[in-house]
Amino acid sequence: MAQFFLKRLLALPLLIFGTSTLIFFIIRLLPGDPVLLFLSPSFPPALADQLRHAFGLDKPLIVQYLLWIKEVFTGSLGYSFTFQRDVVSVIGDALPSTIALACCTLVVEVAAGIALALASVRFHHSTADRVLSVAGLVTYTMPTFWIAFIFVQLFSVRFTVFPSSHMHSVSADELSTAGYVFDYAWHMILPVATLAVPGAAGMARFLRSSIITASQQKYVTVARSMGVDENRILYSYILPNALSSMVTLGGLSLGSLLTGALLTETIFALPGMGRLIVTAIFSRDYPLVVGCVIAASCLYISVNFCTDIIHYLIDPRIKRTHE
Amino acid sequence: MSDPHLTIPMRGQQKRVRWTLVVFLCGASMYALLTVLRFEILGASVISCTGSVALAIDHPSQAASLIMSDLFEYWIAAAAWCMMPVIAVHAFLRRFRSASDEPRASAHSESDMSARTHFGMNSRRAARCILIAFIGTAVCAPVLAPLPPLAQGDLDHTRFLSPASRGFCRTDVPEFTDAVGLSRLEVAVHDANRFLMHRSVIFSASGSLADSPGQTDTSAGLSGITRSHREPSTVVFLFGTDAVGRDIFSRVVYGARYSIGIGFVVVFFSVCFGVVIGMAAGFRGGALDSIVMRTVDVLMSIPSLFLVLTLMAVLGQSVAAMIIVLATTEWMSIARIVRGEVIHLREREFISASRLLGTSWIGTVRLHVLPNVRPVIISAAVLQLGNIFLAEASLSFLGLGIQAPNPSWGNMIADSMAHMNAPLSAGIFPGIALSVLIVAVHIIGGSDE
Repeated sequence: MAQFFLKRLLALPLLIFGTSTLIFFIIRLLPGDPVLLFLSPSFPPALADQLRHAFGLDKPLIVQYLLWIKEVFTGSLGYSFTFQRDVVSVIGDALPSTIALACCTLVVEVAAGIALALASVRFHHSTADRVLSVAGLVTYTMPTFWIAFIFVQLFSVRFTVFPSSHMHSVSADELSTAGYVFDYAWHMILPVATLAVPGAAGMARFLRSSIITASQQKYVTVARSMGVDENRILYSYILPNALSSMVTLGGLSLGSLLTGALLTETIFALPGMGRLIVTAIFSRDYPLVVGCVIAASCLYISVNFCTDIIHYLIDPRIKRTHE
Repeated sequence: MSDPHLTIPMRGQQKRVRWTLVVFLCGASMYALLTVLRFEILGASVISCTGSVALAIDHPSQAASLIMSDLFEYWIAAAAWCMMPVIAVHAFLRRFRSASDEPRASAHSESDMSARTHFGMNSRRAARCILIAFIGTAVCAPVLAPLPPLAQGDLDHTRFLSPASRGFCRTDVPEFTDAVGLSRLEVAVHDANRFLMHRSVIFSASGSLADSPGQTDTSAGLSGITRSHREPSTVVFLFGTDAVGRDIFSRVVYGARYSIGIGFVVVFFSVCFGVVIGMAAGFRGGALDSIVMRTVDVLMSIPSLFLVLTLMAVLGQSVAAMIIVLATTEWMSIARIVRGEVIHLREREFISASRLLGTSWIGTVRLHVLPNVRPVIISAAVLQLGNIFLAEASLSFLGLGIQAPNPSWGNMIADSMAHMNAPLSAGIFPGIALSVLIVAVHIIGGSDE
């Protein structure tokens, strides 16, 4: 246990270090002078030199890198040009919204995925299973922005049920606490649905095939020959085995969830990480871009670390192979 | 004949012959219909292609004025259009012959496969047909699109038309007044080239075409010419029109070029890169392997679109930049798969035998390892194709990929979302095209196994 945990824990800072180094060198080595992008062409060249000196861009690359590492260790990721604030605080403001969106989506996704997989396993080899499978493939491969387009057209334009943008109504501050929460939930329905539809389809596809694989195991045949109730076989023998691999999938799906959140937040105008990086890219705010990518990767890496640990704890088979 | 395996494929093959016939006849009638509908541009392209080349060979001094890069897309489209029946008949005959022959050994594995998955051989074939149709659309886009993708109708009448609404269209072609002393062939070729390069299409939903703004394909360096005003004809906006009165059907057809083109080029590069790196890492092992795999780990721990966006921000927004960025962010999965396969293969006897016979490791890889990992590579590459179609559309949707007036499915959907009064048709058709293409690719790649 301790060895497994320690190995994963040691890999964690190395991965984060590798990721941030890579991002730093990509930004610095590729063509394009950040100072010239920051200034308009009419500024005198002397000012550009002055700015380059102020940002430390005239030093050799390796020195810049070491200085940057030093800054990162003191908890600073630089200064955002567009927001005129520290990058860490800008990201800190955006992160909760994205995490809330991702968590809501994950819950909906897992619940819907399990329900759909159980339904298609129940009706295995029937028309319903076929329909679910085909619909699953179609929705699983659908582009996030197209689902968002359909939802907005359907629920915000044709039938004005849900709002198509922002996290709160204009007058949200005057509402009571319960009203505020309700208002927030009301605004989150479309973004969460947009993200959860392909996710749930993917989960259902994966879970369906792992349930079918698990149901072909010998212990299922033994249980069935001993006359155990079919429901009991499914829920207490097959499902726990199939679900343990879902944990890893849930962790991995966070990567696509972050990618999806990038598009969803842009479409629904939610103030999260995804919209932040798009804004940063359009205004060529490099420190902010680097900060966003590093924050997203850290989130992804640490969630995968957690799922590894959870998977280890709940699945005794892994424990056995590591001991 | 008591063996059940011998009879089941036979029945399946009779059905297969029937289906092949149906698909072939449908394709042939579509082809004939489109040839008639697009005869004007098709004829001009064929004359331009053959005539220009013939004249250029005859008079090498005039080659520069005859062979122009703006014409190449029409030439390729015309050549592809003329080759299509030959290829289709060839494929049909081959399939027909193989279907009526003895049942092949692969029939077993095919029926096995359809038993395991929901998407059996028939859906796979249908998906392959769809992918080929999309590739054909991309290549023949100038012939298939009824209107130029950038041509705008008048804003009063042609804005946001609903699907299948009618309009009027007139094609104007400039005429040179000094066309004397040329042979009939030369006149025909110059006419065809002029038609393809300088035609301007004017269309509107109302009857008056005189004052509507026209859009020339390319109108550089043309002065002192008179335009021939042809009779207006009716045009059907099959998918309706967008916010500035452009025909959505034509734009969807042209949009296939960006998706298909970028998709295949990126997959080619990422497969080359991934296979070379994966092979080297898996076969050599040791320090090289750990360095490569740690790099892959680091690259894969960044959510893909974030990495793509960062690189796009630095490299700027162009098709070339997009291809480079997508190829550099997609090779890792291929490298990982290839490495895994190679590590398993490395321990097998025939590899050791080949090494013992004194074959160099590159020779061993080429002769014995590559053929064994090819199916895995192809399957992974096809699935990656789907990811790249999606990535291209997402980038264009965000405004970082294909830029505004050029038609890409992604930016067409973004365009329709920017206008709240846009009808559903403005965004739904590019989305359907994208979705159908990606689903087809996933069925071919067998993502459900």
